[in-house]
Order: sequence, then structure tokens, then C-alpha cells
Amino acid sequence: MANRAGAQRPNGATQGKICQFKLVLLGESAVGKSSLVLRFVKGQFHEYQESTIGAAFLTQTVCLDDTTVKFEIWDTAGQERYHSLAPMYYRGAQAAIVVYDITNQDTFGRAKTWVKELQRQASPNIVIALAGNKSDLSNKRMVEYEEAQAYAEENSLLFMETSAKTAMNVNDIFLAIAKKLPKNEGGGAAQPRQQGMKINNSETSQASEGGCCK
Amino acid sequence: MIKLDVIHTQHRKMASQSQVLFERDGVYIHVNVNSTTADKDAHIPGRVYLAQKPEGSFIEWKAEDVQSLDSNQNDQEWAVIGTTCSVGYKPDKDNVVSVSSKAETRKRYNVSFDILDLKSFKRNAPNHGWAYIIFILKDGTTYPALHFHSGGSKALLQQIGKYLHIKRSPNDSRLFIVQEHDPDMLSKSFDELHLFSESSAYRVTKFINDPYTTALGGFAKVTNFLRDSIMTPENVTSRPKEEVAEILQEDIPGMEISQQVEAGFEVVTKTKLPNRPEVTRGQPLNSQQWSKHMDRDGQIKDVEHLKDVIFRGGVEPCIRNEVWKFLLNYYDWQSTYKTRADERKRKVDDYFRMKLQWKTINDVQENRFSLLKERKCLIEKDVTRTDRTHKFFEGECNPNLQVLNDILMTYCMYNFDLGYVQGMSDLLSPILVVMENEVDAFWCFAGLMDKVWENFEMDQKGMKCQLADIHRLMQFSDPELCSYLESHDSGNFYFCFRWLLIFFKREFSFSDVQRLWEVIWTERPCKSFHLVICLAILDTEKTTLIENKFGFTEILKHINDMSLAIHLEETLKKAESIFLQLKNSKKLPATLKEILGMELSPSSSTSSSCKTTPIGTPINRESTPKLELPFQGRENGLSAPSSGSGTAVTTPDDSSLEILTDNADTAMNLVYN
Ligand SMILES: Nc1nc2c(ncn2[C@@H]2O[C@H](COP(=O)(O)OP(=O)(O)O)[C@@H](O)[C@H]2O)c(=O)[nH]1
Ligand SMILES: [Mg+2]
Repeated sequence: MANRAGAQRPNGATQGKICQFKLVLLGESAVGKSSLVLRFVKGQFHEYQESTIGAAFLTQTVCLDDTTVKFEIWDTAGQERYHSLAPMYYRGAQAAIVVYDITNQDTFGRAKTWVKELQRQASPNIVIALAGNKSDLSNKRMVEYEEAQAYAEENSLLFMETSAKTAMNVNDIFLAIAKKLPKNEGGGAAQPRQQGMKINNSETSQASEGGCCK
Repeated sequence: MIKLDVIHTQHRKMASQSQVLFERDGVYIHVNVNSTTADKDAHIPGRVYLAQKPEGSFIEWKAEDVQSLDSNQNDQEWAVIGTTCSVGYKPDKDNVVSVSSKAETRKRYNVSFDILDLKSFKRNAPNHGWAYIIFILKDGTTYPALHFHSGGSKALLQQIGKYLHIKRSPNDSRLFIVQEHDPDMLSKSFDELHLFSESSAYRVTKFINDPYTTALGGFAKVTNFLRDSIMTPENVTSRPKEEVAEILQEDIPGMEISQQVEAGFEVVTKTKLPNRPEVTRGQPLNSQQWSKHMDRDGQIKDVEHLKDVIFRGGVEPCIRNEVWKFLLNYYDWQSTYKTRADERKRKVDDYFRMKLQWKTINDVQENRFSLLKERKCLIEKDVTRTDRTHKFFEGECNPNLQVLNDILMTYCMYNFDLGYVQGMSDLLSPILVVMENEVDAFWCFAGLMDKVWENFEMDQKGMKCQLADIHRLMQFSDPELCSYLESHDSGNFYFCFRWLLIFFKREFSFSDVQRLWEVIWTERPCKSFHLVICLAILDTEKTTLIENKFGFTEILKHINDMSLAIHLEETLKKAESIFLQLKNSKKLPATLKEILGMELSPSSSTSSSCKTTPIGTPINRESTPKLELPFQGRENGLSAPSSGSGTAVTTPDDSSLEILTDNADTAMNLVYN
């Protein structure tokens, strides 16, 4: 068929750039990382979403004006015990969403720890978003919106309260990230996936930063 | 302004502007999520479409029931499945829940993808009744098999063939790969050889260090390249129809030419190791056999034979709750009715003593006991999301959830140093379902944790070691696949993490997991048989991984998506025959023997294998002294007192590494002639 050459996709964005970004989700266990991804990628929500063992990988494409942004999303296991594996996932990531649960103060503290770690160890230009999830449970709220927003501002993070359950702000947070990511031509070095994923190798410098546009 | 344009086509109803080019009903997805599900639920009927939409051509499959259940929320773009579910709980538990949760489970299986994202598909020969197709996307997404109960798979593929150029894999007649349409495909193929890139230097050094492995990987690439250039005609556009015609020729097995080209390296791989012997599986241990193995006092006779039977066929579900107690060191194999009664009494007391320890901590205390509080929260979070689709745990306020919770809390007190780690609830749940008793389930779980606690340690050393062990085993058992994985960022074998951590719990249906576990717990034919099972599954997926040219992310996604799509008995057979192949190889290095747990001579215990013999398990269970099998018994564990049933035919190891260089030369000639 003729339209193959033009790669007419997605959503009719025939022309324009295609950018590919690696995004990682971090945060305490059960704050709703997997649920946010499931909502964003498949439009679903499972009340009894099973815990993530190891890591999951998903992709989703969004259109931003004339640019097609393809997210390669790494969803990780949240428990402290699996912390030593996290660098494998955030290494080389151009974006991260650090998630906490607005009904649980401890998860907010843990989110701050993740932000610090990313600022210290991840690619210097990484775009970090903070997501206060489960906003549908506002009657059980333990973390005030203003508190989180002030923290986000201090650390120049994107910030939104989200609900994987009602879908509130889920697409929006991913789109806000897509918007903030550099989409300049030749911005990235090698293809993001060329970077090795090696355990026990956190010293190696981050190969590329910035997105890869073709 | 941002265009809020996430591509969510699969969850919208077929939009009116989309044009259905092809549809067929009677297409099923088979789910064997758990054994208690009535058979009718195991096959989800649905309809497959090829639809032209403004954003592209899509292949979709939708479950039939979901369509009708959905009709009242037709226009809702973001269907919130969970809400309908929780609303349904209150009024009429049985009815509403079952309908809406059924809809939820079914909807999970919906398939929708842009045809341009298709990377390959597998289609079985339909002589098993009907044809099925498994679609695999470029990002590694692997959909469950679509079974065409009333035909139509050919017709669908014919349609797809109008869009894509498809080639049958020369190595697996069921696998079909979508060819890239790149006009400069040839130069790309050159690039993939890495002959001219900077990585060639790396290859050369590697060749010096490990000529054998590198050469094999290289040959595979060269032959692939040759095959591509031989098989790819100049004029790509004229091909598709013929290719599809060929796909539909069920009886023509692939492409002769390329198989010849491939022959060179086939020879090399095959001569390296002895053949994989045929093995057969047996019937599960039944209650008559079980009681025959007990003498008048209730002591088990001929334990080794019993374990052989269990290894070969598992245990019938009705006696599981008895047999598992022996396999998990709850009872000693030497015990009698009398000692078991005493033992059980002791265990009951012991359990409730420990349970009281955390039960009696009040809120004030807990606030000053943050570590315990933290664990309590973690356990709560995981208990609510463990196997909730299984009958035993389904529904809000299911009392079994409380039992699950209490056992895990008590385990925290029993082994406070280890605590609760994610994954443990997955290990406990099948045990609780079998035991149906809190105390028994606790002690069996504790027995299982004694075997696997290293996986859950803080530094993850146990996991990393096992991943490294799989790597070493594969370097020997399948250097070609091993070198492929290494050169695709996957030499860390991280994609096996979930398999190992929870012993394939998420990969098989509930009943299959129970079968698999009892087989593994016999520690036959070797102690680390689970590592060989990993090799077996990867062996089955080898062609798919290599011919799709999957990298780290795609491999991980493909492996994760294979959950519930792995055939247990076939996998066990293959794993045993790989084990025998290794065992029969004269060249099997001592380190590998040790990884496998084959060799028990005390002198070899200092070798470089990752496996550390724990200096005592974290808990000293004075009450149940660890049963040590006599040396002899374990060493011959495999062939020991020949069980008669399906003992493998083994072939002597007559081909080995010496011949290898010759063959490598032959292969080289083949390639360069
Ligand atoms: N009410 C509510 N529950 C949520 C939301 N997101 C997730 N959950 C629930 O929180 C639990 C943990 O979610 P999960 O996505 O597995 O968390 P993860 O461990 O961070 O991946 C699950 O039971 C979800 O159903 C939300 O936005 N609102
Ligand atoms: Mg998760």
C-alpha cells in the first residue's frame, strides 16, 4: 500500500518529527505507579492491580502539535528492598515521574528521597514530575496540595495531583512532560536504547541526554 | 495549545469514520487463569477486525461479552472498570460482582494495534483442530493467542499480506517476520554485521578471549545476512502476494535454500553437546500410591522412589496438603504418625505464641515501633492485591485475606531480620489455598522460605547470583543465544528476575504453579532445576527473540507478556532433557556442576560459583532438624533406584569440543564459499 512510505501515524500526524524518550516511574510501593501507566497506556484501571515484580516496560505515543512523542516507560517495583536495582532503570532516562499517595505522608517523604537521588545520580537534564496520586480519595488526604506544590517549585519539578482511578490529570502529566522535553533536531546522541543496562555499573557516565529525534 | 491526543483507539468503540475491512467472529482467547474457573470461562469468545481508521490500519480483537456489557457506557472514552466493580459489591454480592468482574477480566484481553507496529506473528499448523495466531509487536508486546475456532485465520493473514511484506522464519516454520520496507535494507544489514563500526574492535578482542562463543554469534549473523541477501529480491513490492501464498501452504515446510545456508552453524551447535534425550512425564502421585508408601507406624518407605514419582508427575490435588508438608520440611520424612502428632501440636503452640507477639502490640506501642508498623503497612498493601481473581481470595472482605495477612505478619516475627519483602505474598498464596489452614500454611511457607530466603535479602545478592548462574549455564548450553543476548544488552538476564524471585508464580496458571512447585521441591534431577527451566523457556523463545532482533526492552516485554502462555509439561520435559544433555557432556565444567547442584563431593565446594552455602539459615528451627539425605542418594538422585516410569534414554558423549574447531572451519568455508 502506498501510504507506508509516509508512515502515516499516529493520529494523522503525517509529517513532523518523531521523538523517543525514556521515562521511569519511581515511588513507594502501592502509590499507584502501575495504575498510572495502565491508565495512560491502556485507558484501564484495576482495583486489584497486582504488585510489580522486577519491572515492566510499556510504550505509548502522544502527539504534540507537529511532533510525535513516543514514551518508553519503565515501571518499577517500589519497595525499599529493590532499591539497588533502580539505577538500572533511571540511567539514561530523559524523564521521571516520582509518585506519592496523597493519603499517606510517608510516601511523600519517600518521593523526596527519590527526587534527591535523581538529582544526584540521573542524567543532569532529566525532566522530573511529581505526581500526588489517588486524588479521588481527598477525604483521606494527608498531604496538602500546597505543601507538595511548594516543594515542587523549590526543586523545579512539574507537579500535578492525579488519579489513576478517575483518570484525572493522568494524560496531562505525561503531556506536560512531553512538552518540557527537548525536541530539537539532533538533540540526542545515540539511540536511547543503545545504552547498556547493566547491574553493578552505576559509575559509568550517562551516555546521552536529551531526546532522540529523527 | 496541547492537543490532548493520546492514542487510545483500543478503548473507544469503533468510531463511525473507521471502515471495517475484515471481520470474523468465533475467535477465542483461552485463559486458564485458575483451576477453579468453570470451563466455559476459560475460552473468551470474541471478534477480530481489520479496520481502516484515520490514524491507520488496525487489527483488533474484542471480547463478545464486553461489547454487550459496555453498550451503556458507549461514549465514555475512559472506561473506569474498577468503579463499576466496587459499586456492585454492596447490593447483590454474587450476581453483580461476577458479571462486572468478568467484564473486567475479559476487557483486559482486548487487542488493538496499528498494523505498522506488527513485528512478527506465530501461527500454528491448524491440524490441532483450529489455527491460532500470536501477534508480536515491535516493542516486544506479545498478545495472547487468538484461536480461530470457526476458521478465518488464513483470510485475516491474506488481508495483512496486502499491507506488509512477510517472510517465514527458516528456523521455525510457525514464525513469520514482517520485513522492513526500508529501501536501504541491504546497507542496514551490513551495519548489523558490525564489520565496519567501532564495535568491531570489541568483537576482535572478544574473539581472542572467547573465540568459540564469539564465532558462533558471528556466524549466525553472517548466515542471517546471507540469507537476507539471497532471499530478498530486488523488487520488494512484487513479493507480498507470493509470500502470503507460501504462508498459506501449510505443507511446504519453509524455505529450502536458507535451510541449507543455515546448515553450517546448525552443525556447529549440534556437535558441541550430546543430543538432548527424549524424556517422558508421568502420572501424578495418587492417594493409593501414597498410602502404600506408609508402613504401619505411618513412616514413609522408599522416599527416593516417592520423590521420583513426584518429580515425574507431581501430586494429585487431593493429597497435596499432606504431601507438601513433607516436601516443605514441615514433617520429617522419617517421622511416624506418633511423632507427627507431637510435631503438629508443637507447631500449633509455636505459631500462636508468635502470632500473639504482634497481635498484642497496641497502637501506642506501634507508634514507637516504626519498623514493625512499616511492615504491617506493606503487608496490608500486598494482601489486598494478591490473587484476587482466584476464587479463594475474591470479593471484598474475603476472610481468607485476613489469614494471608496474619501469616505474613507472624512470619515477620518469626524472621524479623528478613521481614516482609514484596513477592512473599505470591509464594504464600498457593500454599494457603492447598493447606486451607492457617498454622499448616504458615509452617509450610516458612519451610519454603528456608529454601529461597536469599532471593529476598536487602542487597539482592541471591538474585544477582542466580541471574549470573543462568548466564554461565547458557554460555555452555547455548552459546549462540547467549552471545545474542550479550550483544543486545541482556547479558545480565534481568528479564528472568520475576521467574526466579517467585518461582514462576506469575508465569503459569494457579494449578500449573502448584504442579511446578512440587516438581521443583523434589530437588530432582538436580538442586537448581529451576535454573534449567529458565534455559528451557528461553530455548523455546530463542527463534522469536533472535529473528525479531529484540533488544533489552523488547525481550523484557516479550518475556513478561508470556505470562500464562507457557506450556508447563512441555517446558518440564525440555528442561529435563537439557539437564541430561549437560550431564552427559564430558566437558561440563565443575563450576556448572556446582551451579546445578549435581556434584556433592566436599572438595569442590570452594569453586568460583556464585552459590554461597549459607552458614546456617537465618532461623534455627530446633524443632525440625533439617533432613540431610545420604550422599549417595543425592548424587544419583537423577537415575537413582530407577523409577521405571519414563527414565530417559541417554546417549554417550562422543562429540565434544575437540571436533569443534573442525566444524567451525567447515562452517567458515560454508559461509565464505
Ligand atoms: N482510589 C485510588 N486507588 C488507586 C489509585 N491508583 C492506584 N490505586 C490503587 O492502589 C493500589 C496500588 O496500585 P499500584 O498501581 O499497584 O501501585 P504501585 O505499587 O505503585 O505500582 C491498587 O490497589 C490500586 O487499585 C487512584 O488513583 N485512586
Ligand atoms: Mg507496580
